[in-house]
Amino acid sequence: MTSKLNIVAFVCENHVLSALKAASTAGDHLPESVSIVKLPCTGRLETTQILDTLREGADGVAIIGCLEENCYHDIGSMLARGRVDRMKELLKDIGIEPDRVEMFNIASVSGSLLMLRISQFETKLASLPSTPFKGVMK
Amino acid sequence: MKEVVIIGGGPAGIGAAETLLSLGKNVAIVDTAPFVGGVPLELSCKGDIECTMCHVCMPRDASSRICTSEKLEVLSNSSLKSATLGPETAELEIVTSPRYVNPDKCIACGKCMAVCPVQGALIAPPHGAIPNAPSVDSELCKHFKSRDCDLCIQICPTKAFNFKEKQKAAKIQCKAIILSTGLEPIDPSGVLHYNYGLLPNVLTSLDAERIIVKHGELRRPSDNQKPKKIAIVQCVGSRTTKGGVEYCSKFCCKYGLRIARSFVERAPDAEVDFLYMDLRTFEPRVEALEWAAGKKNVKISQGVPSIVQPTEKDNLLVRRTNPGDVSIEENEYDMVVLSIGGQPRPETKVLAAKLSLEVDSFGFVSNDNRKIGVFVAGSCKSPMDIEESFADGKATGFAVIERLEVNK
Amino acid sequence: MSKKTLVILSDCSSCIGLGESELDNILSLLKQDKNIGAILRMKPVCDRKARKEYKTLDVHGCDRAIIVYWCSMEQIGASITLPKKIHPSLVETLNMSLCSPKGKNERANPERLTRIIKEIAARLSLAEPVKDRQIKFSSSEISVIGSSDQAIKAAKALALHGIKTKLIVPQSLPNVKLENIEIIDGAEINGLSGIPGNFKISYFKKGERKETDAAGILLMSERCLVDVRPPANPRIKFVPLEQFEDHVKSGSRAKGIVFFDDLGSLTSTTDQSIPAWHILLESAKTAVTNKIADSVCVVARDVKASGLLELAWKEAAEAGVKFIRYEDKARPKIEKSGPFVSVKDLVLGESLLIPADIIVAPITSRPWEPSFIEKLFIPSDWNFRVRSRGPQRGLGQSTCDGIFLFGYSAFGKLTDQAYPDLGSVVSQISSFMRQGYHVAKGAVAEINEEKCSACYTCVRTCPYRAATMNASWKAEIVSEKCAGCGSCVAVCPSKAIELKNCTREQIKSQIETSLEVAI
Repeated sequence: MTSKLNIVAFVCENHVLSALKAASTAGDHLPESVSIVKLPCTGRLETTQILDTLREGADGVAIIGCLEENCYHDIGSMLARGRVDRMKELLKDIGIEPDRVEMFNIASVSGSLLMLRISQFETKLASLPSTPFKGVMK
Repeated sequence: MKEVVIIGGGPAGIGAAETLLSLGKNVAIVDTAPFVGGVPLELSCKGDIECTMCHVCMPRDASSRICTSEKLEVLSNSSLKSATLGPETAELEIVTSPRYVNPDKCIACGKCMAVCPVQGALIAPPHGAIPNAPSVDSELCKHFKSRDCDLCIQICPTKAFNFKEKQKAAKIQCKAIILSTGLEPIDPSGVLHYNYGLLPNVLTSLDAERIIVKHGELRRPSDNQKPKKIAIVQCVGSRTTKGGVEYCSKFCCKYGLRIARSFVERAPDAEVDFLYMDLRTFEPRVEALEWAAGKKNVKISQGVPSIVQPTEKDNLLVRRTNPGDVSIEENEYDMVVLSIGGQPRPETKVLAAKLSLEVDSFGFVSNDNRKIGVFVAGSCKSPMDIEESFADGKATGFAVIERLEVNK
Repeated sequence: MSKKTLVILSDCSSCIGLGESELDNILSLLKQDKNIGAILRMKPVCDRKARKEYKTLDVHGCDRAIIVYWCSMEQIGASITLPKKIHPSLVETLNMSLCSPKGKNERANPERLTRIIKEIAARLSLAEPVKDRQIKFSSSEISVIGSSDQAIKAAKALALHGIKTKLIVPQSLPNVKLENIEIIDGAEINGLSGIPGNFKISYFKKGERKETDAAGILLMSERCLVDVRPPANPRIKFVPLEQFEDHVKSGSRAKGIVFFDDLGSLTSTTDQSIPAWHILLESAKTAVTNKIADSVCVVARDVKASGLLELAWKEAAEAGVKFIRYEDKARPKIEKSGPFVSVKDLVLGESLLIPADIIVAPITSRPWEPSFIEKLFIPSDWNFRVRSRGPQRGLGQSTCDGIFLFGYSAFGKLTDQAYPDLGSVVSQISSFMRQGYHVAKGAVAEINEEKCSACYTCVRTCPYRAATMNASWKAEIVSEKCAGCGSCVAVCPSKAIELKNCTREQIKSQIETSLEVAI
């Protein structure tokens, strides 16, 4: 039985969403494994919410925000980056692969780069053993 | 009757259009390319985590903000044939070549792109381009050459293709004209000692950007591998009396450094040698080189190469004078990027004449004629980078508003 | 009105290729969802005439809606109007082309479609209707705040374009009268409060505390000029570049004049000069053609004669000006033994001793004092450089609407390369004034006073400076300034802040619904 990956991508509804739309216009669509959660800014995302997503059984969490210094809301993606870095350290301490959480900074014109990064993330997750949290919350 | 016609839809044209539309004026943008956006449409964002302020996203974000405006008309694949200028209004004759795709019907689903058998016959709209519909190149398209292909017509869900479309000529009345034709890249084939065009892994900065847009990272054209050691050479085709232009193109130092930075951030194990004549960055030197501080794989040094020669495996041998001790040094790289500048297009001179404007010996427009409503914006006046062109466009848009309101 | 969602499926069968049986399957799955009130099938959105029918459809008792279509034409979503019973802020447009699977077969995946519609319905069920408000400007003036003569230049430019201007400067200008410009001189600015269109500037003048109104502010964020002179050597005279013209008029002759582009490298200060290279080249060429010295040299790290100035550089070199480039590792030195400058020429590799009884250089400058920026409460970065909006709208606008910037901080580039004629900033200020109102967002953050521990974290974090501490030691959000980014929500250690329409519950429900299918 092939196991399907489940990736949750937290996306900011400003630059990154326009990059996503632009990419889909060019025929470059999101893989089936990815679900999008739109946020007003990646700075809205709390560290506990990343943990919750993993706990609910996600194989990986991608946080995709604007480039730093060019965040639509100024500092949001920088705050998110700090949280993701801390989260990765925490995951290492509790024995979960830190590669499961990743942050990308994408400009509104980099639609194809965004899709490339997502598919690279998916490939990396596929090489990891299946998440220990699958089915735990049910 | 339009209020303003903008000839040239690059950053300056879009900046002017944004200002004019935000203050409620009717605007038409005329561009010879199938899409409005100018040269920045082909360029890539040079940030990896931090924004490097390369400003490539600026005109595209602006054009996606204005594309839904009802007061904007976009005439792509079009050029100005003649202009009759008057004190209050002008009459322009615009000739539009057929696109063969109706942008009002096209939903940009991409199905035609997937089935077209000839590469390059259907030009895909880059992200954020207006109009958001492909354009047919009739010289490459199989339908025109051998009349036996209609795959795109069959597959299009909204029946947007019309191969019977003819060239159109339209007469437009307007109160003001903005000329913003910008710059075209300088071809470094004339700089013989760099062997551009003869050696596969010698690229211009524009070629490198196109590869980055396509693959997400730099790749060698000869074998599609990632380069491990590249040289970026500045002032190619600019500041020279042979094989280029005499003036300095102004923006290439800024872009060359950002290409170097983007390369190193995306490939942290690779090496880059940045070779310049004078570091003409827009920001103070200390800030411009902050990102390279402490990095052992980045070398930024004065002194451009004298010759680029081929070696085995399609690598390149670069010879230059070592700064400071005048000794000769030779280094091998697997890719050389030539930072090219920009020169005014040949069409600018022709259009300027039609609008009773003058050009200097380089082709830059040297005056404007605001009294009869002819304005000039952007890098067709003097070398400018994207941000400056955009700012100049905004400023010119505002100057046009003042004329429109004075004449009421 | 129930909190049920109306799902409107645009018939994009020719594009997404979903067959009738698959559609029936989707419809039956959706009907079971507790948040979905009704499902309608309408003609495709790309049909302009069909779009008009959306205005009069039957809402079936729902007050929120999702419109599902397959196009890549995002404009379509924006131009669909639904009946008034459905609040516009509770309408989501779902562009399925975002979610189609990769591959040659481009049909939409029915499971995915269903899952995403359910996610959105779940989130919408927890949402509140919000509306943006328009707040009219109470003032019709722009205040120009600055301290150099650039501020006067800017005020004149604005007045020329018909904008009512007020100039506030710290220096005394007793006899200066400018047409159509109100001058408040000798003013030490103390603070800035209010919202765009309704700013209040407080300042001290002659010991008295005063206040003035403004609709918008132009902050001349030019660096303040600082007089930094090279080490004293009585045989060498220092002339600031700005005063070189007067020196030429005086007619005095010298053995050698040396022009420096950056005095900072000599005095080892981190402040940097911002030379106007066109003035530097002009001055050097004038020195040669007027024969006021035997030798004229320009000593610089880079000869920044960019653009068409390159030709001016060539002219100066042909006229007889010597250009010497040096390296950071081997900086020039002013000799103590005599009127000479020693420098190693980078290009030729030679060490030179240049006669220099006159040294010309631009006066160094540094940015606004951090305390000044803090007093104004303007969004600034960690280096107290006033934040401009970068490539987004950029070019002279700070992250706070209504505060405009001109000068080094605005463009992040050397003054002579930046926009000397203020044209683009004036055009933005003009658009701002003509709009006449400020848009206050509906989806704002709200603070639960009982949980607030007055830690100031939100006040320090908010990029729009919308969070403040009130008199009862509780944090408050000025809703007119809030842009709804949610940074404060995430940083609050007491979890006292919630963001409308992006609450913790909503995010949680989205996460849960998107992972349901996996199990």
